[in-house]
Amino acid sequence: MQKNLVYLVGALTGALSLFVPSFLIFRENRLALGSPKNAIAAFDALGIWLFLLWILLLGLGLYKNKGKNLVILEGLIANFILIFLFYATGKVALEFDLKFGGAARTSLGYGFWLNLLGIYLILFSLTKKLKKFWTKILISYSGFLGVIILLFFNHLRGLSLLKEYSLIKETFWQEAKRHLFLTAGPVGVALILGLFFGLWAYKSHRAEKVIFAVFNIAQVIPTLSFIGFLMLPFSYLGSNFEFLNNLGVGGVGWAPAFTVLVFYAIYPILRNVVAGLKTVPLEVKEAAYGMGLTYLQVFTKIELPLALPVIVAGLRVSLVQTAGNAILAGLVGGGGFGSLVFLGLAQTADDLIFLGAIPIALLALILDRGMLVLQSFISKKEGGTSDFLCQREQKIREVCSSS
Amino acid sequence: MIFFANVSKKYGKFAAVVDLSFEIKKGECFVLLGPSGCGKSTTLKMINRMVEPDTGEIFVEGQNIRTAKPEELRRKIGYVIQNIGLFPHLTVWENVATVPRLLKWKEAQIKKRVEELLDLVGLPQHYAKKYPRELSGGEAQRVGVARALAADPPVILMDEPFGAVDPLNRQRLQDEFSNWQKKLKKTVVFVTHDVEEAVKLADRILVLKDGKKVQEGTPEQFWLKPANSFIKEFFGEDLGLKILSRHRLQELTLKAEINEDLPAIAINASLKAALAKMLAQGVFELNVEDDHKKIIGKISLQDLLIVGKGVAS
Repeated sequence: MQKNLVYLVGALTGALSLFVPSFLIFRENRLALGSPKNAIAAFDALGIWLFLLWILLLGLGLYKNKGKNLVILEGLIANFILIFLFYATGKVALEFDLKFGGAARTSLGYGFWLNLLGIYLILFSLTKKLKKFWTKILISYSGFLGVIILLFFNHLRGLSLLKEYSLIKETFWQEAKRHLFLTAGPVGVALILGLFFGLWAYKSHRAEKVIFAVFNIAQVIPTLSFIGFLMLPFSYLGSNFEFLNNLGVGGVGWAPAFTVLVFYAIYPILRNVVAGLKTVPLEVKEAAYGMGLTYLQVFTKIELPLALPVIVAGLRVSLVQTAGNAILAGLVGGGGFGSLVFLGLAQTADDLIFLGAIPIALLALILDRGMLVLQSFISKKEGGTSDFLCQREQKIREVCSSS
Repeated sequence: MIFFANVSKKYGKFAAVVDLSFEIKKGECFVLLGPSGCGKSTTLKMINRMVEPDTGEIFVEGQNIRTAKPEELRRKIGYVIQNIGLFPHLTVWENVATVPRLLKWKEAQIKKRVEELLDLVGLPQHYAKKYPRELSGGEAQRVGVARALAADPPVILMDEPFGAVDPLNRQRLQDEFSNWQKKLKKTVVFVTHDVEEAVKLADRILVLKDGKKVQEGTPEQFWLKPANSFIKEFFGEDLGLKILSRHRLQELTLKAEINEDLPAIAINASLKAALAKMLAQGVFELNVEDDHKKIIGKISLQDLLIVGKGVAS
């Protein structure tokens, strides 16, 4: 029932968003005042078709007792709407652009974003109903793939966002690389440190208290003031050591941002390493020792494999969180998509903000999904999503709340 | 086979085991019995060095276990615990193969052994691929026993192995255990707080209280010559009936003349079951059937009482 509610809200949002005054915004050039239009006005006949598709989805949603095939049909329609929406937008943008000799700008209004939200809600509710791996993949990603293809064939080049992109193409990819570095780097370091401190905390109760106290405090300090604290020591390091200076270490730049990101990335990993190891059932360890496994064998063959799904879950949280946090590097000259966002904010250039924000959101989403797949892979080996893992999760919550 | 000489163990101020000496013979099922907190589990765990004694010496197969590496000692001693402790991330096959792998057996040899053991504990071969979470409590305990037997250790330690199983399954597992034990003749050290279970399975029993030995001997000796009032009370008034459950009709000589009207009982039933049947039916005699439901003789109440006499002498 609840899932169906999500679906209906999604369908309603999608259908109504077409009539929102600002679905697409047309400007004759970059500086001109925009004239917003709703979807029907912007797309003409295509808009009517879009509306009919949404009504069809809404109707199907009201139909009770549906089988699996109907669910798949709904999913396919929603994915089709996604592709159709981008196709129509691209087409309209190109036509508008032709009229004004290539200088025109077509931006996405909030109606457009609401429409995307509607599609997301529908797909979200549908994938919960599907069991099979491949149908899940089909329903989750086929529309997304379609949009990528449209992008790839330059169909969307009339959109303001992509025009902006083609202007700053080189900077964009440079910042993309930097952003990946600012995500993978800190998480990599955090993984090593998190494993080290996690093991230490697991083995010694005293160490556990100290370690958690330290990292709890690090977690509580606001990110920006944390960076501020680090600026002084880093500028000292940068100006006093030649080789550090050559690496770009200084009061501003990547180094303070990187360090802060490491601190924030450690906590979820650390916590899950400890929780994962602590929730290995006592009798399993007793049996292992009793059968003659050595200390090291119990650790590598029993404790670590049983803790692994929990550790990977922590790694996932850490990755997604860091991909988002890395935006802050833009504030202190550390680069990454954050610098596009903050530049856009300073110039009130929406497209620039989006050029920074959309990739960050996508990156976080991709990392989240990818790690989920990895997680389900690992826990499948352990015997699936069953009671055992549920019991473990229960215990993990207890452990986490106590530490 | 296993020899305790003046063994003591303290946890802080609490004396878990006090100056304990006894010997376990090869091939017997030796039960450590007593109320909870009496030190029976601690005693058991000292045999495979899961717990180290403070003073005293323990010998297994003539070797002082202090001189053995704990891991190597443990690989020669099967270990079954109450909560089983199957490895949840490994299949039944991998669980059972754990010790043979530690001992670096050849894969073909391990495979043969695992198949053999699944047969022995009465699990179908396709169970090898299952994960522990897919097993019922009784099945999991069978796998636990198979895992302990895997490397064919001469000694098996069992720490309340059937304690967490429901009563019906517990009885079944106990019966199966006696059958395995008859075939394999392992030296078994078995911890329980359940008198019924101890009397049913033990060749000899050692009763502990507050870490001290109270009495040691066969169940029959506890019945006829209880050392003190604690033993009498602990084993209960009906110990004699419990002793009857140790014997089966096979052990008696049947009378040849048959009275068709008598109720019948299977030849592999216990004397306790036979007595219960006589009580229930209000008769003094029963026909005895073989496995194919064919009547092969009869027994009388007299025969049962003579067994009691035999025990006494």
